[in-house]
Amino acid sequence: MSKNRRNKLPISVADILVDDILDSTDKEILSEALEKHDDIDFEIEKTRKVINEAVMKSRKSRLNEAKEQFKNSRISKQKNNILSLSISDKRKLINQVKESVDSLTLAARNEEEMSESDANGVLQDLIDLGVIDESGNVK
Amino acid sequence: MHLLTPSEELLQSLGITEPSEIDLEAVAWSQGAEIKYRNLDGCEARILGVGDKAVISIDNRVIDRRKRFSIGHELGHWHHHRGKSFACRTEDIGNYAGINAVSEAEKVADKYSANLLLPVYIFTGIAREYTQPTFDTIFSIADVFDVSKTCTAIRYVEHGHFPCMLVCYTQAGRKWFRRNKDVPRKLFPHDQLDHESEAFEVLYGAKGKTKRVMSPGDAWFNWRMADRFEVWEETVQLIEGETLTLLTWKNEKMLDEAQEY
Repeated sequence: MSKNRRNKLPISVADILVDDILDSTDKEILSEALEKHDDIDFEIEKTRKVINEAVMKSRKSRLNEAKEQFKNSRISKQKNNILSLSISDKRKLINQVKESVDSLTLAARNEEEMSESDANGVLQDLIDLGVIDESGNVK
Repeated sequence: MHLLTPSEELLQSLGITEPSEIDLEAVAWSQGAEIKYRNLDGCEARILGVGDKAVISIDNRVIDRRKRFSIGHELGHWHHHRGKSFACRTEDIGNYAGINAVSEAEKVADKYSANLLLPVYIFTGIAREYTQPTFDTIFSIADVFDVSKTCTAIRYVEHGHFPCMLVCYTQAGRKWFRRNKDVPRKLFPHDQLDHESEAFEVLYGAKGKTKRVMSPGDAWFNWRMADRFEVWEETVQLIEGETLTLLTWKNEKMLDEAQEY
């Protein structure tokens, strides 16, 4: 068995070992470590470094996943589904959504001044977010 | 000890330790928000969210650093004001620490953005690499973080390691100022720009900036003993009709005396 394979414990065994460590007191862990290592401070620092590096690696992987997903979302973007409504109907529809969707977050300039282009953007976003369908019906 | 702000906690949760890693599109995506760049007529930025998903729209036509601030601002709304709808004015967005923002919500969103773009836990280490408290230093740091010069200047004054003060004047008088924690509160800048200051020439003359020069302390402060000391003064004009002056101290004697008397 190679060293790498030997170091890869099955999850269930690793869980048992972790539980064993968590159930032990600091004193018990320290005395066990003293049996195996001469410089405990060095070992503690080394272990802390390993843990911190693993945490950092995991966090950075979240960032990299987000980068990748954002990039892919742009590639797979569908064409715009601009609704063929009059500007007043578009504004009415946006107001209807504002009144009927409880969990809506909207921070934008006063909607009375909303241009047709801005209204189209809002409606497109509402379609993308699954709030309305492509015919303008609130889901 | 610096307590992490919500935006700094977010950056840390993504393992961000360098300015170049602050990828706002990815940071937003991790929070369920997609960034779209498009032409906007009514505002510079907008967030539209439902449940835990949102689309943040950013006006294509503004400069990149302003776009970045706007993304941070909208993420601030997403963090603090989820489930709420309100109007924000164009002039509300993009002013660090809510210098111009009128509503509390806008101030909160501005602060969130500043902390996202210039996280203190990264900023202080980088600021320490520079040995001179000057605008050159500040502008260089602004390039490192890809953030506006004013925003960086305020961060530098508030979280840098030199005692310094940043004062903004218009012809109507002092607009705002920020001081480092080591600058005593007694050192309060004048309401109007002193005509003996170099900054006066920038505000009323044709100069775009001044060199870093020594000025009498009473040209800047009301404190009764200010005339006994001198301060370093350096002024730039970043916005038409507004001067930004960085005041620094050659030694800490004036600061110590002002603390005491």
